[in-house]
Amino acid sequence: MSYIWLPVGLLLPTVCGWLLLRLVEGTTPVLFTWERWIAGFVLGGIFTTYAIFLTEVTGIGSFSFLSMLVTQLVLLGILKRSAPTIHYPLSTIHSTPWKLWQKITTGILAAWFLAKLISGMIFVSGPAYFDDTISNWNLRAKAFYHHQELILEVIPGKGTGIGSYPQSVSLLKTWLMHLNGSWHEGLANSIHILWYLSALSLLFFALRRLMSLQWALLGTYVLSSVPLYLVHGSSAYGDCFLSVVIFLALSWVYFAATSKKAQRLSFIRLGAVAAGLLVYTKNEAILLHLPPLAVIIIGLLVIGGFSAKEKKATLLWYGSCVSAVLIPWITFKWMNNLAFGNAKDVSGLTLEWHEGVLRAIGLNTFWEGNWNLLPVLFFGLVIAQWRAAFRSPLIILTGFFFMVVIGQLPIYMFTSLYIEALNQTGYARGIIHLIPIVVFVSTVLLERMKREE
Amino acid sequence: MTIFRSLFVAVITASALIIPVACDAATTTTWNLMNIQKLEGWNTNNLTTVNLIPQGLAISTETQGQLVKVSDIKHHVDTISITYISPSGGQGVFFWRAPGMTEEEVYQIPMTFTQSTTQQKVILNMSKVSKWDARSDRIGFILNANTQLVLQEMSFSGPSILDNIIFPLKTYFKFDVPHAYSINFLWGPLMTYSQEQLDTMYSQVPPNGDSWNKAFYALLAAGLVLVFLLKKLFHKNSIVAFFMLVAALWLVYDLRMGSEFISFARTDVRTWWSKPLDLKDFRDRSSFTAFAQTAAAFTKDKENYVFIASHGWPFWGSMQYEAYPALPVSHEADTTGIDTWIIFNRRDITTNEEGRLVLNQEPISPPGDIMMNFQPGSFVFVTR
Repeated sequence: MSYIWLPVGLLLPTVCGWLLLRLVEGTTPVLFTWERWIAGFVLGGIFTTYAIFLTEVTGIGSFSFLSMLVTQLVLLGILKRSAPTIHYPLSTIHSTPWKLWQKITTGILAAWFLAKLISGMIFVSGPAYFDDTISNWNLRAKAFYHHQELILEVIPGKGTGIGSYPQSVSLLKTWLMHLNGSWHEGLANSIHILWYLSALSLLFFALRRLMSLQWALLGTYVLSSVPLYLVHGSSAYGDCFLSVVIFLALSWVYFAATSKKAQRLSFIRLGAVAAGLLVYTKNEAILLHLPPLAVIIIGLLVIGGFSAKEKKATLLWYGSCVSAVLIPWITFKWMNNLAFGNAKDVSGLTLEWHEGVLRAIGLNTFWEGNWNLLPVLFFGLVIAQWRAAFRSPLIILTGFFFMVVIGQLPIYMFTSLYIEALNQTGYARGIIHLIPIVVFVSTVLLERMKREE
Repeated sequence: MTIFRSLFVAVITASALIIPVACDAATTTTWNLMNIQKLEGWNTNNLTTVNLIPQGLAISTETQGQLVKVSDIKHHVDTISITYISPSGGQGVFFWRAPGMTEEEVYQIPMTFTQSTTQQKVILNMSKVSKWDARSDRIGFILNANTQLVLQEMSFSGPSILDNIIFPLKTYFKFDVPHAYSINFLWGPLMTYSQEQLDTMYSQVPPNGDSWNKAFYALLAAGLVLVFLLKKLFHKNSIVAFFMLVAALWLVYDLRMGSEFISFARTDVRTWWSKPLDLKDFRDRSSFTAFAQTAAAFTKDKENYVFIASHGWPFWGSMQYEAYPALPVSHEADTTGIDTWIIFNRRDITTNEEGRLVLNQEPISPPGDIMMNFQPGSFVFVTR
């Protein structure tokens, strides 16, 4: 019965997200109908919780049920007034006719996926089990729910390590618990499987914009069959959620680069909103993901063939959206002396070489069962199709991937965070964030290769 | 035609006779030291005298020293036979440096050389030694002082060819169970080569097996070479066939890993969802989760409770989570004013005649009563 609060509770954040996206699309909608709803759910959850956070820290509101409700209703009212309601159906790339073997294969794989999805639902709805669920994501949600205010030192005397994380994931759970009236483990965890499904759906829509239905489904299947991504999609951790937001922020830049005129500007605005909200997902976003994204945006402005008007709009939108979240959030962190690392402060880290890190990374990437055959497929395709990977707009995604991965390596090799790589605790999560991008690039390159045959 | 038919029958018959023998034969690497002219790959350190004689490698040492060989064994080894003559007898250790270990690190097991002037053989059953790894690049002995030894032969035997085929296939669908590490990595499909190795595969970390990925990569590499050769020699583009191979391997991999994930959920249903609270087990935490959820009810509206468990991790954090906002306190801290004591898996904690909790014969709590007895050693105690 408690699960009824999941759709009810997500209604307001999703509608707010949908209206926000419609608002920034303006008179040039570029998202598919369902794509907008799903992206609205993902980004709306961050947008509304960020607003709730702002009301709390400014003393206007709190984390009580009434305050959270009113904040969302006010947002809804503002967005409803502003967002255009005209709907423009979008055209998609026509699909090639289905062959019998394709139908049978799709049917079998869909049934197989359904079995895994049901297993995921069972897996995620059990008692809290993994360490960060217990010490961070759900514990903070419990703290916000019980105390109805922002608590940075959740366990007195234990410091503010986890308190330095953005509150979006935990606050959404708090909101659901308010609706339910008591803490319900399954309800608190169920939202994670929706983020997993969002990742699959948004990848599908992004691919569908470029290729036939069959190819888009193939790419979606590939993502669904990455084992560790499925585990994360079925666990109360924030990494799968972050991966969806990164994917939106990056893929919309990619589509801006491949579009023209009004559509390009629409995607730029969407990408800017996603980049801004990215700040309020996980700590890594500021340190690992925003800088390469900034490099890509600057690169796009320099060599992307943007007109002066487009350049101005891009700078304005990205500057405004990212600042709107980054400045208050960083100010808040500074004021409260919160860490800027991944729950571990990066400022005090000393540099020294740590042996065995590269071996552990190689083991995790190529010799364990985490990624199916995705690493060899991805690297193989990038090498085989290097022109397309690095000398076309696809470099936005491949470049981002390599910048983040190469950027992470020194952190593991030279700082005390090496232990996260050696024990394989942190490294794979950094890769989880990039998996939808990796699958997108792989599918685009594969389809291109097939077309060239 | 008759000749060909006869030849065919002869080949089939010979194969039928030879193949089972070949398949059943164990794979063995032998390091022979008898009747050789030159000692290759062996190093000694701190041994008083070392001579190569027809009977083997003669060592006589007044100090503790080391004899080591650079090893490159390419197969699995579960039995090591060491043939020697030792007029003095003596103690020593057999050691190996497993992959990933640094220059100074080795694993070792003690061994005894029986005193005798005739040939002796010691057989080490390495399948019982969890840290043994045949891929070790250094294998050798440390001999104690005053040892005389003629080392004649060392042989390393592993499973038969048939085992090398059957067990990796069997192990492919041998699943792990969810652990705390499963959020960070999954071992994936592994290869083992014997029943013992298969049975104990996941009982250690890392598991006792090789990654199946090497077989997948070998197939992909072979496929790529074939594509290249077909293109070069016959101008035939077979890249689509190569990607069909990739797709087939991907599906096989997905079947393995997806099945493992489904098995996680099935275990949850079997041991948690379908059981009454007092019989519930959750993953590798056994009855703790059910206990914690039951005990948490006793902390309602309280600020703190005392928590004592057999281990700190993961019980402390999990209890803290289940009972939040009440917070756990160690019994070694100041427990004044705290009336609820939650004890998990501590049979060494009992109550005395005064009704106090007793640990190591020392009372650790004020008098009270056991309010919930979950299982021996696991209970909730509330002071009067």
